[in-house]
Amino acid sequence: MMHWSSWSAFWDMGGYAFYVWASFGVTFLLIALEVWQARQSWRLELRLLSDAIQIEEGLSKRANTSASRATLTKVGVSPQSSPFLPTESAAQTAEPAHARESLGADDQSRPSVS
Amino acid sequence: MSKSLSARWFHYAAPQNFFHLSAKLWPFFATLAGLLGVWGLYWGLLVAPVDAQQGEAYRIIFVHVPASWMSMVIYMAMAFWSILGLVFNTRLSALMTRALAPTGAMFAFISLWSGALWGKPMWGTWWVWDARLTSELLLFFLYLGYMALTSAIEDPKKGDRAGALVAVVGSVNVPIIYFSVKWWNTLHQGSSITLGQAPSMAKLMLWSMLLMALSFWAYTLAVVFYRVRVMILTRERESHWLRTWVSELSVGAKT
Repeated sequence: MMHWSSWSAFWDMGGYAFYVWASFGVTFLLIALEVWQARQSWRLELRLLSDAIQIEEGLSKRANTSASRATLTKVGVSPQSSPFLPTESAAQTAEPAHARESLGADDQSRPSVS
Repeated sequence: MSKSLSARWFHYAAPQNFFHLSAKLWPFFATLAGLLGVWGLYWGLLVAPVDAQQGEAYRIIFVHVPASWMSMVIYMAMAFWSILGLVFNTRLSALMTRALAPTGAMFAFISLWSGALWGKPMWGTWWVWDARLTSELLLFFLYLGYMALTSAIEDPKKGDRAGALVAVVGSVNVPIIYFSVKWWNTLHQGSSITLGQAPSMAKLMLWSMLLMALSFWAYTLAVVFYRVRVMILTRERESHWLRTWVSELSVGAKT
């Protein structure tokens, strides 16, 4: 059973068209915006992470140059803490003790991996 | 049975498990929100009769009341997750709290906005500083404050804890909003529905409103599960399981 006699009566809302449609309109506009924003952030974060992984995988195959390390730092990936990168053997680069310490502190500030 | 149930709860408290669970949950709740919403709008806007006192303007109730309910429910949910997070130190609870906040703020805004649009033709004013309206405005500011605070603190763990405190302390405001129409003499009308009492509404109006409320519930669950997944993507970016999942995903997308 339809309440309205015509579509124009429906859109007019008994003279309250502005109040009713501004309420419903803004509600659905905001919901649409939120959905769009959530979708965008998912795409962005997924791309950032998959790009970072690809760079690291490429790095682990090639030589671990300082230039590519700089790229990694740019995209916000710590090459040291990556499980995909071969850990630098002590024989290859004997790091000074203070460097190791700062590295450990860096690891602690990251979310724990379990 | 209760033991296996609690074991399951803790199982899904791990981000890895929740990441996969929520991937299945959000499309379900999104579909449900859509179906219930279409149904509620159809009844509310097209079928439900006109209100004897307020004319067609009363139809604002179908977004106003569900949005107001959700704004309060979401804040209570944030307080609940925050207490859980503070007591058990579970990683997921802070993510839930953070994911709930924008949607809660949105519903609080819709509540104020649609309330103003309803107040103007019925009371002759967009706004009055009465207890109900003022406490709802405070709730909106609490959401904004929570979001500003948590996003300003760079260390996620510290941000989680500071946010949890705001969520718990601020939750005192929610019962004040709810009971304000009883405790004080407000311009705002009394509750349309009171527990244990027959509602003061026509059945079709009532059902339209409940359908819209259920739709908003389902929508909230969908968008929160979705947003938690985005947050796990950033927070667990060093985790082996997530990296494996992302790698497999991009391989699958290419072929």
